[in-house]
Amino acid sequence: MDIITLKNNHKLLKEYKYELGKIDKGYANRTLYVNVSDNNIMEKPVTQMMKDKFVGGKGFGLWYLWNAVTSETKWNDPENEIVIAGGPVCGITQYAGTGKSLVCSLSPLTDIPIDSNVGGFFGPLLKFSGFDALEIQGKAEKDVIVYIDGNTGVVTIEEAPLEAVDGHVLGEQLTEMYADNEADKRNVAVVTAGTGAEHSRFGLLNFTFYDPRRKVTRLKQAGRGGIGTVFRDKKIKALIVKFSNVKGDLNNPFDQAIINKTGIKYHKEIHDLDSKQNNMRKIGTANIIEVMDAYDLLPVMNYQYGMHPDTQNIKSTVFIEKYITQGVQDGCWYGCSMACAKAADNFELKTGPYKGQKVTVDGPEYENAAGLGSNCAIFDPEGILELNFYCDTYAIDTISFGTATAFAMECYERGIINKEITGGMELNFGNFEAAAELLHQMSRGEGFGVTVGQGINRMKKLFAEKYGADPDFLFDIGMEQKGLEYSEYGSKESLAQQGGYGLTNKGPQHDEAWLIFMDMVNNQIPTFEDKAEALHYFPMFRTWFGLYGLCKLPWNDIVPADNKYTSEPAKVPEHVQNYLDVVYGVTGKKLSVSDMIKESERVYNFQKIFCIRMGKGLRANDRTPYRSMGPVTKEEYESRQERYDSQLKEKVVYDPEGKSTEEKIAVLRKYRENQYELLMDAVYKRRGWNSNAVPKLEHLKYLDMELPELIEVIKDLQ
Amino acid sequence: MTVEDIMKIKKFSYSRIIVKVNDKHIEQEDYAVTVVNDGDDVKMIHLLAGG
Ligand code: SF4
Repeated sequence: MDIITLKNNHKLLKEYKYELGKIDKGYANRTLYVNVSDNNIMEKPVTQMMKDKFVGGKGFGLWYLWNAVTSETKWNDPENEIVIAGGPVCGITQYAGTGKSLVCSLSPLTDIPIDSNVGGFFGPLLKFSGFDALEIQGKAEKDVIVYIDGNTGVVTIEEAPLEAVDGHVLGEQLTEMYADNEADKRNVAVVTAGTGAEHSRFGLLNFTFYDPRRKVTRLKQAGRGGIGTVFRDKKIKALIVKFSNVKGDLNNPFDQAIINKTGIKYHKEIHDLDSKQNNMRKIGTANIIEVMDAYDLLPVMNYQYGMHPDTQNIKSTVFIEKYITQGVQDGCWYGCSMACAKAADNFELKTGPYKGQKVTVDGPEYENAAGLGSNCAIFDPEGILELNFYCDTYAIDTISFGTATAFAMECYERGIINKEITGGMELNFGNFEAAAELLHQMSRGEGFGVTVGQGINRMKKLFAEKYGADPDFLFDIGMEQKGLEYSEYGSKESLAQQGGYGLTNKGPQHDEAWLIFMDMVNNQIPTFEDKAEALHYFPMFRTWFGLYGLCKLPWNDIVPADNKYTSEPAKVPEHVQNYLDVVYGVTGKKLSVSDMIKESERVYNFQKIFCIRMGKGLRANDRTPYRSMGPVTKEEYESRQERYDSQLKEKVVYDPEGKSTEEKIAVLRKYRENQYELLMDAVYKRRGWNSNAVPKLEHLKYLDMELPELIEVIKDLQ
Repeated sequence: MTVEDIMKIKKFSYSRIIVKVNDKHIEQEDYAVTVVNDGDDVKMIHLLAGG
């Protein structure tokens, strides 16, 4: 259908005019509220309290969400919101990784707040259009789009009945519809979900940016926690923002010169060192596929193992040499010299509704290759690319899909579920066709795909209650916690990383802490106190990126040549200073590293108390499946028998000689579970929480976060 | 045994490893010629990676 017909069928529900504004030191100083139930649109001022306590980005998102919901609100209630916010640094073009938005909502998987960090142009263009955040509440009756014209100061809500739902088609349609010409497409950014988000709980949001060299609309994903599911439940088809005339100084920074100077220094580093270090510009995050395999950390067959001989078929060089287009500036915002947003062009699809079409696949990122590939034993690069494409366009989180499919495959192989339950599907490890069919079923809303799309937490209940499976065994092998599927790293041999996953606010995603090398390989954090310090510093430091609109990757996916001579190379001190300089340049705020950590701590503890308010967030919720800690089955133990036997001798002081595998598993388990308990104690203490993981009132005082609504939630839990 | 030999035995293939022998930094081009003796303090620090 042509674009004019699509547009002519829009029905205007509401038009709202606003004054165009000017950004002051990184803040537009107002936010936009849109309710798709009653079509109310309004502006809200950004208060000094919001800036002081929440900074921006994820901080603003969580604050608005807190005020929108009650402890009773469910993800699919109209009160639930989706909040998209950049942050004060978001939108500058002189440093790498400065175009990120944070998206917050109550998650259909976890029932607590989720936050997801995403690239693409929407966040920066929203700010340049006059708003530090966009709050969406309500539920529309029919499919709507929300359009923000930042050139003229008009916001509209329109019924949009005929456009596609799948991300790659809808992104193209709306980019073309709202751009005046080819050159103008760069000024249009679209947020979509996809058909899969309508029938699963782990739907994602696609954020577009137009790629003028490839002449396609590229997609970046706010992947985790099912925000796309909330989006489609609200009957939102898309959000569009248009703003022309992007320039480097639109944030009206406090000191442009220091931003420029810091940026030039960083770009030179990328230019000189990337090819010697992580090769981000050639392959992006997928550079570590073979590294994780070599260190026994790659999830294989639902995290049973950490390496596989067939990994060589999906190692990064295979993607570089055969699929990923090289020599293209793949930044997901202007000025990102790290340029890791790689893509495979002219990829011909073999299955599904777009079979035979040649498409651009955004990826694969490491998580996709590991989750869709090794974890499901699909060691086929084209299989991975195909699943990657369909996950994106259907708006299915690749991580949750990969981990949930791996779980279902293991259940199938162990006879917990069978062909009758899967609707005739042979869900063995390695079966690409079956994995693809699950995805297509999620898109169509039928078959066993819908069951897998409910996530591991709900599959475990179903398999136990309906099919008589052993709930304890399912708990051990089901790699989810708090309702969220694990991301794609094996953590069995790193106690610190077990905490890096288990002691998070939103669930087991590695964006808070990735400590495996520090802990397991380098032995740099041997004591509980050392691990607790790392599990305080890194989650707080990494939270900070989400407050300012920054990407984490430029921090440590390249390091200065002399980084190794610094006292704490893992923290990359020069880059931390760069960030402090950039924030000073934009906002005029002179921060020290401890100020930075304190800013994060405020928001982190706020999110923690938000989780408690919603009925989670306590020690019991930090319990993790045993497979994240150690070998569950005989095969797992015996595959690394030498390692485990020697640990029993050295660490547990237990002689494994003559003992059965089952006995040895039980002794090792007791030891490791106890270690995790001790880790929890140490981490909670370091974070200023009591032994039930509740922030202490004096800690809130230290953070200057004694808000009455927070005290109300935790005062009886002290 | 050289630094390179130890890295092979340990299967250390990651690209960003800081090597120190008795607190002295060893550059990558010297791995093959730096001999490690019994009792030497060898550190092979892998820098953080991932996501
Ligand atoms: S490093 Fe990659 S993900 Fe981050 S901003 Fe740059 S291109 Fe985007």
